[in-house]
Amino acid sequence: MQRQLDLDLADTEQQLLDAHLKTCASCRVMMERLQRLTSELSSLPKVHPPVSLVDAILPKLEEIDLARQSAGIVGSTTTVHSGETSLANRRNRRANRLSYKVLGGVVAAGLLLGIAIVNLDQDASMRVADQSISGSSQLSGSANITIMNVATSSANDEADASDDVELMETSILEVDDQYAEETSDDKPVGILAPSGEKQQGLLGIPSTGGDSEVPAVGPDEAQTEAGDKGKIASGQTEEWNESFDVNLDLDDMDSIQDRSGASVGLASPEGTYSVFIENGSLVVLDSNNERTYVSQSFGDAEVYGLEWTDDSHLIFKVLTDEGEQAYYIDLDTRSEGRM
Amino acid sequence: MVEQELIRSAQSGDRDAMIQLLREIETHVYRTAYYILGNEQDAMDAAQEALIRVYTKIESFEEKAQFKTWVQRIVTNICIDKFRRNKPTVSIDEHAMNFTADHSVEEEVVATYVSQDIREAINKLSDHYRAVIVLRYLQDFSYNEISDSLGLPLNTVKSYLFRARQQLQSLLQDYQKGGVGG
Repeated sequence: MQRQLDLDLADTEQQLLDAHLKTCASCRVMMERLQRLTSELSSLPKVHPPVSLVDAILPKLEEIDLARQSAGIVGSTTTVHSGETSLANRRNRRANRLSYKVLGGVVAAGLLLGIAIVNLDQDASMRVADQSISGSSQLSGSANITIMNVATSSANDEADASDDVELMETSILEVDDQYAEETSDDKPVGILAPSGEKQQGLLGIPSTGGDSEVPAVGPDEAQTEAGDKGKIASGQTEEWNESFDVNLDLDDMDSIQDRSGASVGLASPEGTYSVFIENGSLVVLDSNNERTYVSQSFGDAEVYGLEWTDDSHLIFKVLTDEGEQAYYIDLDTRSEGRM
Repeated sequence: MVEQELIRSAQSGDRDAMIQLLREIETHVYRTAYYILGNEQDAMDAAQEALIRVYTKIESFEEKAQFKTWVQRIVTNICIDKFRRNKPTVSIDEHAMNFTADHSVEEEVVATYVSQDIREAINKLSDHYRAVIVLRYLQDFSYNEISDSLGLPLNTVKSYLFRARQQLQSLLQDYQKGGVGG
């Protein structure tokens, strides 16, 4: 009988069933009940979700996309835990034959800015270095990664600093074509050349104010990383925030982190502009790496979904207590607003 | 039926295709979740989780398999997990009152009236029996499709379905006699 309900009986079987039902009252009753049941089951309301579920999950999907990009770049940093890993990462990075132009550009630019910082006092310089380093990524104009793992690991300074110097050296040396004018192979090195103070000034990040938090991405932080994607940290964030946007395919690159915790700059499709987040505002640099536009400040609100819709138009979202709000920036008209 | 092309595009990274794919399946996903979990809120949660999982695992879908059974596998697994984690709420909510453009007011009201007993009965089934019933009657799956979705042998599917129906009709008898408490 049950199979009959599913039209699963062969003709001969159906005939047998029919014959039996004619003679057996109890089976007939059961058959009727089952048929009635089937009819009711088939008539159950075809419910629809009360709101669009896909719309509801779009922000989450974006987070996943950003996390994937970042995971792709940092490679296996999700398993990274400590200083030694960041060291390994640095070594790996040196071995990577990828986009040294970018890295080098970033580093070189950072160094140039670093020079300016050298005279500041330590704390200030660390802070500024944070921002300058994140800013320097913009200077590259093309990629967005900011930086290197400088001092990701521990707050400890000299050793890290010298490692970083080394790293920078390597990167810088490879840069020439793009930045020959701005830096020479020697210069940056010279600048970095350990005069302890200068180092501190530039790479002073390590202690980010004495906080020896281990920024390297552990499993927890990897999650945080995904969660924090695009989050604006107002420059002085103590921890390494792994979030950043990258235009290039940098699957082999790992541990490139923005020390300040802010989203790292994103270059426009044709490279005319690049944008990054600083102190709650979006800062756009032009192709001369000069600040061409600074948006309103969104304070501590989370900014995400940053995207170039074309070479001079930017869209992004801000999550406040009131909810999600989409914004645009139009660099042709130098305007911005809600969408 | 979702087209193969759309699935392929989504798998190759076309985000628009992926979003479109999710929109095409969201009702089916929700519907299964709703009837397995028995209430709208849990269904929304589970369905969203299922859609996200489809999104993240789309590359693992093999073309030779049927997309709809793959999707239903995801949502039923999530629901059964959720079902086991939380005590199921046997609540007949006012979902039928969420009118869509497709249904008239009258249809919804009648459907609610008629289906209340049966829905209560479904909520009393064990999770796997319930899943089989839902896939069979809400998704119109064949025995084989149910087998693929739930990862159960064909004979087990039939057995579960038959026993579930027996239980349901027995419960309905009890309702009609007025003997079943909440």
